[in-house]
Amino acid sequence: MIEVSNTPVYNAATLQERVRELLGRQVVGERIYRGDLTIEVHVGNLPAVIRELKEDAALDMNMLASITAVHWPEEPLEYEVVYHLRSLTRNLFMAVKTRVARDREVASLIDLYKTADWQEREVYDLMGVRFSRHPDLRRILMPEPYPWHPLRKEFPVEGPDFPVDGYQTDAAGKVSGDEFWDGAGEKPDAD
Amino acid sequence: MQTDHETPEAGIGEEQEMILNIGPQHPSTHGVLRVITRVAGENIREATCDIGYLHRGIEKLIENRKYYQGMTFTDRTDYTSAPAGNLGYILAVEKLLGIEDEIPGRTHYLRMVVMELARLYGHLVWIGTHALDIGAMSMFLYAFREREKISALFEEGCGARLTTSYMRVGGTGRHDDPPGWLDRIVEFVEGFRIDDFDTLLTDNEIFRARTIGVGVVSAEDAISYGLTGACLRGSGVAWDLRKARPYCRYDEVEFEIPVGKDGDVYSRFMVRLNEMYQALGILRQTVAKAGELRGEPTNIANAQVTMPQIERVTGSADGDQAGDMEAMIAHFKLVIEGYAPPAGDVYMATEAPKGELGYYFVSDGSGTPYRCHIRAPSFVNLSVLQQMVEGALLADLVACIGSIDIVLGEVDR
Repeated sequence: MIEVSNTPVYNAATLQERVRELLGRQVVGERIYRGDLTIEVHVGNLPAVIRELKEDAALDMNMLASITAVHWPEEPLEYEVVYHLRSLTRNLFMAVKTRVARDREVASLIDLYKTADWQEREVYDLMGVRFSRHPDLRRILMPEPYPWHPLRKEFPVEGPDFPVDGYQTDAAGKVSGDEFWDGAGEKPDAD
Repeated sequence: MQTDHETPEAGIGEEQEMILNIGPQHPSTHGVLRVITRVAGENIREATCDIGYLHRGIEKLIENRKYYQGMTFTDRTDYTSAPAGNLGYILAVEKLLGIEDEIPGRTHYLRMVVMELARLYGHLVWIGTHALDIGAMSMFLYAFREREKISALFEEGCGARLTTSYMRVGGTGRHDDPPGWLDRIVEFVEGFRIDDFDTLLTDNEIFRARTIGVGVVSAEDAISYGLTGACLRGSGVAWDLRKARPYCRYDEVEFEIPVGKDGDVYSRFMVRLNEMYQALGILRQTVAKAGELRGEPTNIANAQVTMPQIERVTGSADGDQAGDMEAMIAHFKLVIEGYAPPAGDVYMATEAPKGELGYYFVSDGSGTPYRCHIRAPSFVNLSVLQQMVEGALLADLVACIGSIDIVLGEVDR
């Protein structure tokens, strides 16, 4: 039986102190914004930091609520991967960020939290961040042969013009509709 | 895939495995979920989910629109309880703007009224389809009878039945609720025949046989998989964001958190059923509070966030009163430029009917969100299915899918 707490053990400032005490110089940036603590760590330290936060009895960050990434195309370390951690027993919320270059990998957290499986696949699929040691890093929302990562900033919101596998497209990138014409009756005009 | 039907070695009684594809077009998958199962007879050896058939790129769309425009997409994530998506979105934007303390009390209570109606609305779809999957046909009809009444209330409150877009950043969509609307909600609450669901299923021999001990998830696994909502509480973890981190005025109403203990399909059923009782209790309290505060504004007075009343912009309908130039300029600037939160990022989590609905926003100081991530409860909760059905019977798969309570609009976004 896991007892949850409905009163936070620390507020943002005391949580920050506790995290500082625990992690020391591994924290390279920290900010309290709108009442929430966010710390930044080097990508190499990430799994160790998250493990420490999870295994520390005073913090007990036992749930990984969300994994996501932000794309900053102008910066050398393009991707900012954001982890939202949660302690149900101590009622604590915090975020851990790390920066990674486009051609580098982030260590998967799958051995710490099982939810990392699908959430990391989603980040990889939509943003292109690669996770090392993930056992099954496939696309999850987009179809398997899809060539792009659509949440990257250079990807246009309308989608690029390209012949979708098996479909004929005109110059404007529209599907002509031939694929859906079954051959019976008069062929519909392609708009 | 290997089939050995032709070879004489694999005779009757010996185990043969086959791949069975379920969905994406199948009623018991609650939308366009595809599950590829490897079965030996009736036993599931392995199940793999294939999702994304309803992916519309809602995050990308929100990132290319003003903050006030993005709200309409949230109706289309969890479309069985659209106001819950609206609430998560607008609370996150309000947190990003730093105006959450300015929201009037009446607005909070009106939002909670609509939110709890949405919880009933979502749970009614769930109880109807879940029971239908297991073979209790009449439940669906009873559930949709009650649901129809909520649709009518939504329509009266905001003009739409399904995709409500009821809330706005800084208030509610209307500058006042329609006359008599709150009374009709009370009427609905008092006439809500929840006993129909309780008596038909809770002690139903067949329903119990199909659900007790099926699809068990331990508390440790539930937390590790990031499950929230009834999937987590069904496993005995009494975590509810309305109690743990209250938003709106949930700290001022009385309600209990129903908790299961076995983590099976039946526990999750009981948790959601009891949540419906609790939602009715919250509705009684919030409607009374919203009625007491009648006369308070429903939107904050900040002209940089709140749209002016339509009569002030266009003039009165009978033509006696001309439009107000100030209001017209404010309206124009708000529509064209929107409002620009200061640069920074926030994560706001709310307890939606399906679990923790989190919105993560990154602002670069412009009127358009730089990044919007939707932490969808259905997506995360569905990830446990593969483990849940391993070793189970094929017929239990539909019971398990139903008990997770997914909606594919939210899984795929």
